[in-house]
Amino acid sequence: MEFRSFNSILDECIAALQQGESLDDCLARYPAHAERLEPLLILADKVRNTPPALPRPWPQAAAWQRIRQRATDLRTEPQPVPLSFDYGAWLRPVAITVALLLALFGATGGTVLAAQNSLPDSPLYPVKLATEDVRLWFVFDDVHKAEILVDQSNERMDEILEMNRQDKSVPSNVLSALRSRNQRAADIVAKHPDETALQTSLVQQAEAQETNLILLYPQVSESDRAPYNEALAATHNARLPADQAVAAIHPEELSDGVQHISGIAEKVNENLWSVGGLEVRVDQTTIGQKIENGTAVSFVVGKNSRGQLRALTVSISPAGLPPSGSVVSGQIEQVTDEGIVIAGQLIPFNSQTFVGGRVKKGQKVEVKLGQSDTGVVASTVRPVTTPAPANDEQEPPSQFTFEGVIEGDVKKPTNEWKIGGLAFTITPDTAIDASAGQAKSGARVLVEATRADEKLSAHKITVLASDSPQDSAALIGVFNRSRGGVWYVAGLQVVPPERTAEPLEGTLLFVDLARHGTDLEVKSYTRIQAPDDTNLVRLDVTITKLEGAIWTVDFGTVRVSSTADFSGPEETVGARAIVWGRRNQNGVLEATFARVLDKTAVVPTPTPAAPVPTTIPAGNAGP
Amino acid sequence: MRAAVWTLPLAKSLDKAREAPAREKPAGDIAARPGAPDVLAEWDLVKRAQAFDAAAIEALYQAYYPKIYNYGFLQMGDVQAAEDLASDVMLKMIESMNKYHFRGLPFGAWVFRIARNRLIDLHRRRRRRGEVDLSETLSSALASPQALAERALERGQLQVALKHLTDEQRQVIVLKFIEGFDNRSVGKIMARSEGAVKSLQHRALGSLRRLLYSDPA
Repeated sequence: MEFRSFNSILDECIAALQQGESLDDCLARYPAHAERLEPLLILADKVRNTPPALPRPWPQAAAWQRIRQRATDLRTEPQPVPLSFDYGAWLRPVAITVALLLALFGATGGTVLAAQNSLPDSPLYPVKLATEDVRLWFVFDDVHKAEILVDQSNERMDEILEMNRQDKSVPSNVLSALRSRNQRAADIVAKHPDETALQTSLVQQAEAQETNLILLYPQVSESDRAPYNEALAATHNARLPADQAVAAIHPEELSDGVQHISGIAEKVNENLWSVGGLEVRVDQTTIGQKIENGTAVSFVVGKNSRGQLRALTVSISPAGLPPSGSVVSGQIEQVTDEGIVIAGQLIPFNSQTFVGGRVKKGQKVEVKLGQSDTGVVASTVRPVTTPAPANDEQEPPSQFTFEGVIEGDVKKPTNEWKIGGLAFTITPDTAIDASAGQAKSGARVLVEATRADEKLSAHKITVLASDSPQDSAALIGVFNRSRGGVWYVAGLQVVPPERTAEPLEGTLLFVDLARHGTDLEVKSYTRIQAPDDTNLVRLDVTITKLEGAIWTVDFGTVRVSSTADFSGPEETVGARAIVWGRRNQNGVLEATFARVLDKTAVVPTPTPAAPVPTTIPAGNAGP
Repeated sequence: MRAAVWTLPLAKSLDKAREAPAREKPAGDIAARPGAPDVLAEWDLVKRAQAFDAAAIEALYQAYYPKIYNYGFLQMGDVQAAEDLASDVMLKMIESMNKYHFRGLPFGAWVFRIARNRLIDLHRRRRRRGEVDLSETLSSALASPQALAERALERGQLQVALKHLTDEQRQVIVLKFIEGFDNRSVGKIMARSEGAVKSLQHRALGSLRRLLYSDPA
């Protein structure tokens, strides 16, 4: 399979313009990309024509005197016998051998060329990898070999990201190739401590790769977990100082998953820290900032088959910001070079933005917001897909949000947590945000989950700063149907009081629940979104400022008027909230439903984030 | 970050770019176009310099000192620091000359690799000592990149905009468009693949465009 990225097209046009081709000719060759190409090509030309900074003559002349003197000294000094080969002469027979090989392969020469653009799911891909291996056979200089391996590893990551952009699963062959190249490069770098630039390049590249691999984790299939774990371990180890190679991370340390855990760090002993009640091993293989007792931290941890957690990376959460970030979910109104527009707001991309698949106008996505020098940016963008029902007998798989109290000891290595009477499976990538308190028996938590085949899988568990009776729970999900006096909301059975008016099928509901034994009884419910309404956006945010009905949150401002449905504790600065809303005619994001999650501030002095800039969609300008 | 709004100077420049003839390369520019004939001619010069031929060493010095100075000045924004960098790199070039072996890549790529390593070391030393980044002072002393973009692209304007790019994006812009290296050489200098260079080039131009032409309002 061949693909032509915009990067290649841009590069080709830059080269063509340098060779004297006109801008119009180049744009005419790629009409579909002309609009994007034109300003970049003009800018490239302007940069090329920028006059250079000229050195002052006298320092240049003075430096020349020193250089000339040094050259004279070197000429008279005895020269060491060169240890390296004369590659020009040495490579000549090799070049002949390669030429012979190509001649032997005659008919497949075209295949080799075609394979260079192949992706890991192509039958030609093994040819691409083999060609690269052959290239390495003829490199006898260790450092040069490591440089090539770093390049090849970078190519593998580009291929993985391209597969992801094309909504394809990442096969094991590319993961294995990434692992082997990183391992070999790291081994060579360890033997050449003086090659600082090479080492820096490998470490920087491995850091970016590790971030991407961790973000890709939810998309890796069960069968590809082993090569994924090996690739991730090798990439992490390539970042460690060479003298710690012995104490590197073993893939087994990741066998049960890679999780994000955030909360307040408490030291247990030299190598063991407790975060939100969960114990995490921190040692010389952990990369990141030094932590101290009481620091708000975010860990990426590997979980081994015994359920033990070992920190791969640690970062200290910036003061005034919630550690696990804010999330915006909604339909894309516009896709631009800058980012995507949701509810009339542009959420900018930057070079670190991770896009988990194709994004297009009209698609529903979940955007995790991050901070950059320029303000709020999209940290990750993931398409939200509705899986097809398993069969006619079962409820369709669905996503829901559940609030309840933890029951039982969750400190023990376990893959199942009981919350509000429901058993949630802890998946290999369940994120845990314990910044508001410990994840322990009796703590109220918010669970983002999926129900499929009667199994409830938790994607994220957030400890809330709210106390509530053990039997109190809440559910946000789509109403499926009513049968025999029981309602099915997101496939979960809840019991409404008699003669309660039924919502329409497909309505998104907030349901306040009370537990009676194994039953979840409906105390009250609120319609959040009608079945045919697709314009609402959901914000999972922290309140940073309150001015009457105007709440400032990480996404900008939202108006929560008296007509909006409201639930939860009274709003307070520093508390987290879930808000549904839509942009009104005046361009203001108007809440239709808001639920405050925390009774007290989770972020003591929240920093009002630079709001996402507003764009005015065409035809909707004006107050 | 703001939504990009094209300003008038760029709209004008679109027409100018269409009308402008292809730029002529300066004559006698040894490493500006690392194409095949120049590379081979330069390899002959390097072989002579490796045998300590004074004229060849001087020719290489005169060719590369200004380039390394420009490279350093664009990255650090400080005349003295750029002169020190150029002088250091030239000394290292002379001392390590015999380690260079022609493998199809221009000598310039090898010299710039030395420069890049020195620059990395320099930044690391400064960070360790807690010194102020020299380009910070320059950036704050000058107007914003958007304000400068009202005029034709000038060195100061480019320099301020470069300051806002990531290190790798800045390297690609300087090495590819200012110093005139091809992708392979840029990749060699930065220890990145050609694919990564193309990708960085796209991102760097995109960021530069946003910095220079986004609406300051």
